[in-house]
Amino acid sequence: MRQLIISTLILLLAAIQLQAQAAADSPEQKLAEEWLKQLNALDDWYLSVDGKEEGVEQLVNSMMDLYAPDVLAEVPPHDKDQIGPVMIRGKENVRKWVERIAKTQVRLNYILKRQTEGPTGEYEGWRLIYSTKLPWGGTGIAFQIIGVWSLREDRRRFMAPGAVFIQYGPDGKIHRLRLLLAEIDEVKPL
Amino acid sequence: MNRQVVFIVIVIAAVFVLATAFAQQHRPYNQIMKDVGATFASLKKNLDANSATAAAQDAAKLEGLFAETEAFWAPFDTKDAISFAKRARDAAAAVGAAAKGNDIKAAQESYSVIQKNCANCHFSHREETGKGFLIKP
Repeated sequence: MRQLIISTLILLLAAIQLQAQAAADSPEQKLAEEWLKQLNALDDWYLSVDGKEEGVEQLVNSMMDLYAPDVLAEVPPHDKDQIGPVMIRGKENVRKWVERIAKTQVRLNYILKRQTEGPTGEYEGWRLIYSTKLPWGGTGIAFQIIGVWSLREDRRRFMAPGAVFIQYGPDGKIHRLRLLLAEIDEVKPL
Repeated sequence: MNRQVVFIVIVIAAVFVLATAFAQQHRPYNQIMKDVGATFASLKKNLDANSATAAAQDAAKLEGLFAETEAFWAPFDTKDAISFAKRARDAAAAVGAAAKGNDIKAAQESYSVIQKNCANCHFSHREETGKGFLIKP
């Protein structure tokens, strides 16, 4: 009897594990994680001993490989005089935005927000990716994030909850991006 | 005659431009840091031994090295690194002044300020790879 119970429990755990694995390995999950990985990698470059910026170009190129030439992106304001989101049209203009992040921000740490079924499970559990097939072809994904970054010039650190909406075309490239960051707060030591 | 004058003026101007360009070249950053490390260790040794004259010489050398450090960071938008170098340079000057006045205690206090700024800058801008260091922007 005891053996039967233990075997049943093992099977049950294995089934839960398989289900979790399937969700974590879904194409949509991979798309979301790849986008965040490329974003977070934008500060992984260095200065040479003779004062040259090394590696930033490759990181920007790598991020830009994800985008279609006619991409339309809505991103948070990145200019002191700008109020509200900025609409960017075309890959070259998105590249300028990406370059700006790479050159002005450090310690980038955008993470997928987790969730469990319970009412308070906001920082553990599943990394949920919402996805849909687009009527005109391709896939749309959406996910909640927490964005954390520091300014390169003075190391001031900021944090913001946010959401990302990405539409991939049948070509696998990003045709639309919407990055929303709300309530940007400076992180200060107590 | 006029041609000779013009030629001499051009040569002098060219020499001046080349000399200025050469002067603006930085030494490799790792060399500056190695010199800082060695001089900083020497300064500590001399302060502990109450050798005020030798300590003042080390402090003067450090002042120059931190000026080089500041110049390395100046072209970048990295104000914190520039500030660390500047504060370390000021502290080195204070060590020198105190040592010249034979005030070893005050020199030791300013020495600690240098140490603190070095540590803060390394925390933000130095990355250990196991084989050496990388300079974080």
